[in-house]
Amino acid sequence: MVFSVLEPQRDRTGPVLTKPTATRRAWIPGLVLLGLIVLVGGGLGYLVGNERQANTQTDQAHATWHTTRHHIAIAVGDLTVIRRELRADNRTIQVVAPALAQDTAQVKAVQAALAQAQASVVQQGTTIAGLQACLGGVEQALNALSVGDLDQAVSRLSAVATPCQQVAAGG
Amino acid sequence: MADRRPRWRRRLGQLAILGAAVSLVIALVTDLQAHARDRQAHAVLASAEATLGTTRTKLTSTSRAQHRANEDRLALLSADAYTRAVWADADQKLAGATQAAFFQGLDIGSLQTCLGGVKGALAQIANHNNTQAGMDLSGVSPSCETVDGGNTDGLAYPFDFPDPFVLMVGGTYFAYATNSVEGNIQIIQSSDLTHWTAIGNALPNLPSWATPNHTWAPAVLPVGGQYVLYYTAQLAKGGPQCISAAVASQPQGPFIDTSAGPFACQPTLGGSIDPSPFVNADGTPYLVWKSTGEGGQPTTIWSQQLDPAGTGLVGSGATPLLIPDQSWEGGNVEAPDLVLNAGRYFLFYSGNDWNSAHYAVGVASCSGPLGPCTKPSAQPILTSGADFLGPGGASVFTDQSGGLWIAFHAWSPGAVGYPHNRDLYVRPLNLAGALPVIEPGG
Repeated sequence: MVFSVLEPQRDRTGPVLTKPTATRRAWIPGLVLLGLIVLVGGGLGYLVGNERQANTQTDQAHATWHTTRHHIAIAVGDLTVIRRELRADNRTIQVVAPALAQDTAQVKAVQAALAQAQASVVQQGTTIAGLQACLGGVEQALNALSVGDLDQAVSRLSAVATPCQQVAAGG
Repeated sequence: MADRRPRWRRRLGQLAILGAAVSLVIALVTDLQAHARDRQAHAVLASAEATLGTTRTKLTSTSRAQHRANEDRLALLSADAYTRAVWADADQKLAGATQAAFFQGLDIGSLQTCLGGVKGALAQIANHNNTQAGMDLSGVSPSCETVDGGNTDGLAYPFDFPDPFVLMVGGTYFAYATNSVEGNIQIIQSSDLTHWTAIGNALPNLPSWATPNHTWAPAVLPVGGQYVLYYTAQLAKGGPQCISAAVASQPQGPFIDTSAGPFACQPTLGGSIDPSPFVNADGTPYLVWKSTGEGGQPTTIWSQQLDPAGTGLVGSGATPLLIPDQSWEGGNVEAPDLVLNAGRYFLFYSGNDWNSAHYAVGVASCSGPLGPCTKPSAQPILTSGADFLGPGGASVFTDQSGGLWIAFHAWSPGAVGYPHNRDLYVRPLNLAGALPVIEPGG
């Protein structure tokens, strides 16, 4: 009703009474729209920026991951080589250690035999020296006695009595 | 209040609002997805870094383990190499010691065998059984030869056999020597010049004028179907040494000396010793010997012709051939042996003290059996060496095939001087050069 009353007046007076009110009202949606645009634009901008940052970080993480994987591959390769060497070393140790023990036992056996043989050589050397001394004296006594040199013969035999007795005692 | 905007504008506004809302939702979802991917990527990265860390830790520990294992391996290999070296060294020493023990065992066996034979011979000598004593020695001769180093240096008979003289008759070699174990004149025989067997005493009985146990330097001349033995004997009662002769029908004797006195003697020159017969190319026999040179006279080697039977000297007297004038001779020349080979006369002789290691063999060159003789060298042709000492009393003979040999005696190392043995050596002789060359023995 109010509108219907005033409507003709507004129509009459026209622009003087209705124009400012209509203009203010016309700005409100525009402002709302503008605010909305700004809000949406800002939000979109933020979100896009945030996404880009996330993508960048993802890309960096991927790059780092690739590098890390490369490092892992190198490390695994090194580890494989070292493990192979370790296994080889251990195999060698497993082979050499018993061989060393066996060789050591053999050395001890040979050294024992050597000591025994050397002792035997020394003992036989003593026997030989005694035999040679005894033989030399008996030969000289024989030669002296054969030409009637009894004193010389007795002297030579007496000189070798000890080695001859030792030889006789030694069997 | 009714919206008086145009309908399309309202629609447009609604669409814009809807679009903006959708855009925001899409942007929000996309952003959330991006963040989700980012978290996932970081999670994967963290996992990978954890894996890398674990792998590096394992790598470090494995490297340490491998390093230790390698050190252990190297130490083990080094220890094993050292052990093997020690083993090889010990093995080598053991082989040497075993070999030495083996040869020592052989030596001991040879020594015991030799000593047994020599002891047996000594007992036989004490029982005045010289023949059996000689047999005992012959039986152990190879063992005694081994004891003296074998026959590689020409050792032929490893017992006392001084001033040897070798005669070949019918393929058998007879060697005569100064009195010792086997009797007044020792005699041994061989078919190969290597293995010698004692025969015994070639001169069982001495003439009454000779002193027992002083008979030496024998030599035998086969002549007229018999054999004449020349030897040195000492006149009884401490008289001078002189030369006598005995005769046998066979080379091994027994030689019989029926003389009433010496065959040859030079009392004014100290006596005569070391007789040695020589037959010239025309068949004429000679005898060379030495005067002992006492009373200021030099020792001299003489030569004189024998009668055809070899039992007497002929001519006006002996001719001097040689006196000592070289330093190595030590003022003494003796034990002559005259040899004719390819038209050249060689007078072998010994010089210096017979009872020492300085004794040696020299040679002179002669124009004939009665000289003159000259010494082509100021050095002896045979001296002491590593295997024997004081060689001397040499005599030269020919084997069945015409080869020349020289027999001599020598002391063993460490056993020089009476009553040690003067062993018999036999070695090849070469007279092709300006000086005689005595070849290696064995």
